[in-house]
Amino acid sequence: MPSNQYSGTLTPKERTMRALAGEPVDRPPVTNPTNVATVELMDLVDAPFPDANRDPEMNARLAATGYTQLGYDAIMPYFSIIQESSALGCEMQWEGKDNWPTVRMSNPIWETADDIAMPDDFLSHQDNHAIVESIRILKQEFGNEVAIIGKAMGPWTLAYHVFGVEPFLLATVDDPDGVMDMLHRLKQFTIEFGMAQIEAGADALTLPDHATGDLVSGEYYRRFLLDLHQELVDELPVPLILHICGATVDRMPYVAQTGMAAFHFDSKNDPAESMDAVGDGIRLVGNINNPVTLYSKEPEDVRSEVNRALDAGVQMIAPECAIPLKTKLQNLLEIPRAVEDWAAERWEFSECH
Amino acid sequence: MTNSQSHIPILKRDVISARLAELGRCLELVAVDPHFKQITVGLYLKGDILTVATFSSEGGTEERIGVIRDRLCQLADIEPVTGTSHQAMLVSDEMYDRALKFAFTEAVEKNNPIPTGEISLKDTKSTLTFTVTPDPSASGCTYVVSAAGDYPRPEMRIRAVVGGYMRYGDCERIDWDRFRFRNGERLDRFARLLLPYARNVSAVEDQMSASDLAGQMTTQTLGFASN
Repeated sequence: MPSNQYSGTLTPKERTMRALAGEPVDRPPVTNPTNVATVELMDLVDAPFPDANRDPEMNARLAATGYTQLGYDAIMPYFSIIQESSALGCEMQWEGKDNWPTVRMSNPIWETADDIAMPDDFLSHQDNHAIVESIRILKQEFGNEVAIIGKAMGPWTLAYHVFGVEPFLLATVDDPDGVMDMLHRLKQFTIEFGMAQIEAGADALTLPDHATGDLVSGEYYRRFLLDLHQELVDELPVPLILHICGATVDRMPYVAQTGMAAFHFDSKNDPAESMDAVGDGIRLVGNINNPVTLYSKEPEDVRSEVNRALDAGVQMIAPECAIPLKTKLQNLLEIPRAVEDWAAERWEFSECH
Repeated sequence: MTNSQSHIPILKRDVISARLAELGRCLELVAVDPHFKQITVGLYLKGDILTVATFSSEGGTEERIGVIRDRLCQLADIEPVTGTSHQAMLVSDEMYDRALKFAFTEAVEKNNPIPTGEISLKDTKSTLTFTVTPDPSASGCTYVVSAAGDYPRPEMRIRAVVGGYMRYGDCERIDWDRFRFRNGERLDRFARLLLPYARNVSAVEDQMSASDLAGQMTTQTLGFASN
């Protein structure tokens, strides 16, 4: 039996946690490090956006559907990327049911590293409290049945929100030491919010840090973020899943040195090339295309992408990022079905049904 | 189903799978019904049966679904399934996917009276008024596009309209001013429905792109991209 295969049957949580640890599994898990809620699921459990981002009970109801309705091996209650930034005082655009809440980055709240300060109500702020309490509810409801994955935004993403994308990126050129200072100070928010979620019951944390392929190079990642991410691994005592959108193969060898459990990667990266880039340094999760495949294509196209990723050796399957809110459920349901079929066909001792 | 130890009612499992097994494939979703409690409404196809459905359990939903189904049957060349208020049947052997999606979106998002009579509409790019007239014959029905009004080269606009029918109705161009649906079917409701789209393809494409982008989380929509 190949070393990545487990001959028994695992619970969804065991499957996810073992895969994150690089241990054998009965089949690759469908482990979503980012949102899988849709407008139809919002209706099903009466938990529409934007309220489901801000109310813990609505949040838990909606997040749970990823497991109870879609059959994924993890629950992700932090749907967006704005909770901490809202708590820090950023100007918000909450939008409606069918769109994402966003930070108005054109009106940044801070200009320099010295402006960075922890608000007294950072954790008790409605938008952070909603996530922490939702995790507590989900833990109470599901116990150890399914992995509950929290999320804490990394310092690079927070920097975009609080300083604005353009001023921050310009500062990386004009004042790189100042930027390092900013990032180190912003790291406290990642740790504070991450720890609160761990204490509430999160089994793992996604750490989105949008040093995206579109905006910065792999060398930027090494220079500004690699050490910081290694420090976060030391500070946050659960498996961490780094998420960076876009074409990121150039930074994957560095990502593999972070000590994080997995890297959530975009469909802009070829899965086989990505596996080569990370080697044995880190597990990969994701790769199923959102804007075209999940949003507008058919289940057979989804299946084909799942098979391609699994054939390349990707250890955990998931949409590449937070899914479009109008994604058709038939495509989301196809992901675990395709994974189970793939494992039943290819894995000698698979007990998938 | 409520777990007695829980703060919240967690719905019983696999409800979605069971519903989709009944409903079939989702052809189109309208995320927000502006006329009824912001519910999401979907159009599903199983065999030749179309079903209008929502996962919302808001009070009054069944009546609203009935209104949408009835409007859909007025907009598209489909017929209501007798004894139901949420289902319709394809009358053609052919599937006019794009036209059905337009019809469904209009059925949900608009609440205007649906016109009858002559198929006629003002152009958005000229002072012309287009008329689309069915021309049935033993070999099938063709549709003739004509234009009235003061405009130097109306044939250019007419050609463009026929091109729009080809794009959105999977129609075949018979002549510079004539088209037909597949197999020469007479589908007057689709012909009426598609005229506003056919007259201005570029604007429709822009609108569809914008609609597709809503609710997507990408580096562009997040503002984390250079373009």
